[in-house]
Amino acid sequence: MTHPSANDPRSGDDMPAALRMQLRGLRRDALPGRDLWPAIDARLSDAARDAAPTPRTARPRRPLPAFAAAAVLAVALGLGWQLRPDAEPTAVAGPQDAVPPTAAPAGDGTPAGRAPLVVMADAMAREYQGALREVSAMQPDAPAHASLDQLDASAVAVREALAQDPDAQYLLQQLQRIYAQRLSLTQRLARA
Amino acid sequence: MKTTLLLTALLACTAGIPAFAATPINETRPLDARGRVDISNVKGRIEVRTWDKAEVAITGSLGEGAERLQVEGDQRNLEVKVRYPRNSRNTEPTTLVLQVPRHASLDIEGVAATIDVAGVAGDELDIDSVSGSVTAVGAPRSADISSVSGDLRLNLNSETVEVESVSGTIALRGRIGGEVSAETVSGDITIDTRGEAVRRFSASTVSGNAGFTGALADGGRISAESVSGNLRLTLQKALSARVHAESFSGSLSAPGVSVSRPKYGPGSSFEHSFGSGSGEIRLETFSGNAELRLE
Repeated sequence: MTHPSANDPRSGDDMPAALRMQLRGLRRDALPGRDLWPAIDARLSDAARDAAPTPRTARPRRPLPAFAAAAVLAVALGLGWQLRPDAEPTAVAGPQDAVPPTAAPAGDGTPAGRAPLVVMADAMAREYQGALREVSAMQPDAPAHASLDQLDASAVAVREALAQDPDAQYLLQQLQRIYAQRLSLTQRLARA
Repeated sequence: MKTTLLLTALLACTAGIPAFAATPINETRPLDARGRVDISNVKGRIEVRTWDKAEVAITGSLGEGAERLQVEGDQRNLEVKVRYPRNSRNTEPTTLVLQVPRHASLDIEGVAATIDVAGVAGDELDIDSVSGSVTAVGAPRSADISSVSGDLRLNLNSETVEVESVSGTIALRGRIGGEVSAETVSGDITIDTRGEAVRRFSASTVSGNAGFTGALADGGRISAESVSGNLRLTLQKALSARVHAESFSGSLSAPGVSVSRPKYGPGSSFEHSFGSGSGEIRLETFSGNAELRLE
């Protein structure tokens, strides 16, 4: 699978359009000329080892990079659905700081020194925030607002948990689910 | 003047009129015995009952401020939708009461509408609510029911059931022999298959508690995960499954298992085979407790 050139989705005012282009690019399949996985696996394993402040518990290691990539891809495809061209246009006036700041990361605070799942979670959060700006609705009524707050608070809780337990794949999956729910609800309230 | 009164009277007899006050609804449409009905009402109540006639009867009242009741479609697929003026926030609730063929499939959508469905036995029952509660009793082949903050109270004898909420609680009972999937963010999950053995059960919650009472079929799979919520599985004594459980800071328990903890750092886990170990169970939490009981 090929990915388009890495445009930072946060840069410039055309982020949603850039994101759409990236998502369209994900639909194209292309085989690399050689097996790239061994080198990627080695680099990610090194990054994860460097990030670990203490020896891990007895919990077995799992194929994290593959899962994380799949999770992010799932988010990307989910965002693609949310941002599909035929989606009903909605007002662009997102709530400020819909997602509270990232939980304190494990490691030294640099991308290279943090656990892969935490880095993936941050990337997901950035994509989510960009998508949220795109679909954000008019001011929802109180019960709906409480649910949006609940989702935001839960996303923070999951990211904090992931910072402490950076090998927990299911937490990344839950984060993806919460973001998808938040986007879906925001869009739905805009239509209601 | 007479003409105006006459026109008003004529308009009041049709479904697509602007509503000046709560307007009675009384519509009937033909529908195949296994047809499909899509129902949408943003605010108020949606009540669905079944009968043996090949038609749909729609009664109730259109709330003040609602634009009209839209009834479209044919004998195979009927759409019943309450239309509102754009950006209208001050409409009164609308009540829709429908009688549908017993084996019809239903797709119901509400926002702040209480949804109450009973007696359905069609192929599909899809319900989507935001803040309204959902009550459903019936035997649809498959059910997919979600809400945001509304509670779900479901009694279903179905092959597959998917339920989802953000903060609403989920209470599901019924003979479900296939697959059950439940997801919440903070709402509690309580599922009881009344002794029926499921092929697959999955539960996911962030801070809600999740409980499952039932049995696992031979070769079946259960997965349950939470962040801070507690998980509890109550399964048959003759369970045959390999069980893997792990938690970062919560406690784990199951009959006859030895929980291992690392000498340094957090975390606990166990692996154990019950019976011949034909099925698979996986429990994961961050700070919530996970418990397996055999009864």
